[in-house]
This record gives sequence, structure tokens and C-alpha cells, in this order.
Amino acid sequence: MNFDETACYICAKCTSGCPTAAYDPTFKPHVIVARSKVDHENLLEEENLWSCVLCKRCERRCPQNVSPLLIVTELKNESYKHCKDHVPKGFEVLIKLVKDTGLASREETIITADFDEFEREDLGLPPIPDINTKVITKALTELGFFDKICEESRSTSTEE
Amino acid sequence: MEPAFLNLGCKVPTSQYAFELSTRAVIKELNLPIEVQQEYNCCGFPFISLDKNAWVYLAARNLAFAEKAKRNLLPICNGCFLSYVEAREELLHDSKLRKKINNQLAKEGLKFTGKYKIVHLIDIFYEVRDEIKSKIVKNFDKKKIAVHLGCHGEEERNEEPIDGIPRIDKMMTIMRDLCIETDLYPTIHECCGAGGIISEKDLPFKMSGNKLVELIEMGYEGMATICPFCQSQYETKQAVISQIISKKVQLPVYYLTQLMGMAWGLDEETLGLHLNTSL
Ligand code: SF4
Ligand code: SF4
Repeated sequence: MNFDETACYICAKCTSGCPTAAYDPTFKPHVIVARSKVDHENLLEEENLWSCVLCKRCERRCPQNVSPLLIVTELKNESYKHCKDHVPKGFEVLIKLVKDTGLASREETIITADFDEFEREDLGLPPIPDINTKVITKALTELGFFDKICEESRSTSTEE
Repeated sequence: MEPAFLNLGCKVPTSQYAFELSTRAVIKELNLPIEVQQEYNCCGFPFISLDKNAWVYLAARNLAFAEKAKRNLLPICNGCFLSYVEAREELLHDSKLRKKINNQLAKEGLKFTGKYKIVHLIDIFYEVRDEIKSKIVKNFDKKKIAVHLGCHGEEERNEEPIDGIPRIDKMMTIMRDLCIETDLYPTIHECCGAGGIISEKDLPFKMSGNKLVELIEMGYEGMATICPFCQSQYETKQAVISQIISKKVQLPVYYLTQLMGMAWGLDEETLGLHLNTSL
């Protein structure tokens, strides 16, 4: 993945193919690419970064080997690091899940169209294997996942 | 095929049970050298938007377990597939990152070198196409079903498809082998929207809903997927979609593995068909 973040010539091919842009006219990948060089601080405040559905269409269409998706993703990483209010709250649940279970979703009882309920066992599926969550949480901690640079007043650090 | 670990990921073993059931059944019938990976964790993809190190570490740990067992990794989910492909690229091209991640993995006696491959279900099924055909006892008699491979199962921009045939074409060929009528349609590459669910907006459901509406209008009798997130968006969430787009949406959506099993005459419960809410 050797993308060239500086090669954009603002053709907007990314935006014309972006499914999010089709529904939300305030979200335009080519504008984000252009602004990322000159208006970085303000971009970090943009809530609609999270509307991107990670489909990769922009990156696959770009004639200049730019990845708007990568630029959007880096902006999101930075806004998470800086505890921006617009980071979806759902991530706190995912982080807790991965620490507790090693997976990013919890085992569900599913309900069919006839209102029958099923769990893995009812379907003859073996239990989900035990996951060494201690090792994983320790590694994620040492890799700095939980070190955030929040303003004092609204620290949402998930560090235990 | 070379031996592989089937990595079940998060979504399949916690709610998309029909995919696990039908995949296990199909693999068993085809007698493929595939074992379910027992030691693993989340592929990291849910965290790609938060922290690169966290994402790559989680992906690398699973790759390293497969490597230790001298096996390729076969993620059941497209999201996981892309996560491993991209994390592998990052690790191979960034020696500092590789060192940092391998330092963590070393504590468990693991190491990522990238020696083994990440493989996709569609490529494997295509490889054993003749075998799949030979098992058919009851074909679909030209039932019109739309193909949906899913964004993260598609080849990258500069990626040479395996055997020179893109996965979307392979998936259609397999469906046609089952005597399903399937063709290109305008929104064939349109995204299911699952990647945007975390934002808690209506947008992802409008995306999936509009594609379903279009397929219904085109006279399709069903849709086939190969990813638990696509299936959830197009199948499990049909009631939610109907509410959001204020229009009753009803189209049967199947996993490709279910369609294969149906053509082979496997029973409903083995394939988890009783769990599909759209049939
Ligand atoms: S990122 Fe690529 S596709 Fe988008 S405007 Fe720039 S050059 Fe065009
Ligand atoms: S990856 Fe995001 S920005 Fe790129 S086309 Fe898809 S939704 Fe748009």
C-alpha cells in the first residue's frame, strides 16, 4: 500500500463514486484530501468523518494513487487519540468487549421469523474457544492503545 | 489446495450462525484440508479507525498462530480478509512496525514473517468447481439471484486476480454452475454500508435498502452474499430497513454456502436456512 498523499489533482473521481457522498452532500473525499494539507486542525473537528463506510471505492478509483480512505482513517485515529467528542460512543463498548472477550461482538441468542430462539449449543455448534484476553490487553496497553491525550475536564480514557 | 485455518472472526460465531453452519457443512462435504482455528482473537478491523498499532497487532496475532501451525489463513468474513491482507502489507513494508509488533508476539512464542498466505473462500470454491458441480442433485432451474461479493472481497486496484479471474466473476460462475440465473447489474459493486454502522446514522441502512429495492424492481428472486456483514445488512436488518426507508422491503437473501448446500440436497437445519429471516 504505497499511496501518494501529495499527488491529488482534485479531479473528484473519488467523490463521484463515494456512496457516503451520495447520501450526505457535506461529505466529499476530494475536499478532505485537499483540506488535509492546509486545514488539518479544523478537519479534526468534523463529525462526518465517521460517515465513511470504509468501502475503498475512492481508493480504487483514484487515478493518482491517493487513498482518500487512508487520509480519513488517519484523521479518525488522531481524533480518537485526542478524545474528540465526535468519536462514536459505540467504540467504548467495542474496546471493553475486546478486553473482556478478545472478540468485538458478544454471543447472541438469535430469534427467527417464527420467534424461535437459538444459541450456538442449540444448533450443535461447539463453544467459542477460550481467548487469552490478559495477553491481548497487556499488549494493547504497551502499544499505547489506551494512552490518550485528553483535555483534563473530559477525559474519557479507557485505561483501567 | 494448501492446508488452511478457517478463522471464524467475531460476527459469525456470535450471531451469524447460519454462515458458520453452512460453511462447516460445505467444507466437510468437499473434504477440504481446512480446520477451524482454535486460538485466535478479533481481526482488529473494528479498531482500524482508532489506532493503527492496535489493529495491526490483533491481526498479526492470528496470522502468527496460523504461521506457527504452517497453515494459510482463511477468514470466513470479508472484513477480516481485508484486515489481514492490509495488516500483512503494513508489516512487510514497515520494518519498525514489524519489530514493535513482533516484540509483543514474542512473549507468546509467536512471530509474524508473512510466509503463509491469506486465502478467500471464493478462490477456494472456484478451485474445486468441478467437485461442486458433481455433487448437484437438485439445481436452481434458472432462479434469478443477484450476486453480492462485498467491497472487502474485491481485489485491490493494482492486484492481479488469482488465475486472472476477479472474485466477482468467480462467484457468478459458481452460481451459474448451480443453474442460478445471475448477471451484471448497475449497483453490483454498491456497498452494504456495514462499515458505517458505528456512527448510528440511517445512512448505512439507506444504502442497503436502496440496493434491495432496485433488485426487487429488476425482478430478482433473491440475493447471494459471502460475508456476515453484508448478510446482516441485507438480510437480518430487513425490518429495520423497511422502517428507515418507509417501504416494505422483502427479498430472500442467502449465503453462497447455503445455496451450494441446497443444490446438493443438504437439509435446511444443516445449512441454517431456518435462521434466515428473509425466506
Ligand atoms: S484523491 Fe484521487 S480521485 Fe480524489 S480528487 Fe484526488 S486525484 Fe482525484
Ligand atoms: S471508503 Fe469512505 S470515503 Fe472512500 S468511497 Fe467509501 S465511503 Fe467514500
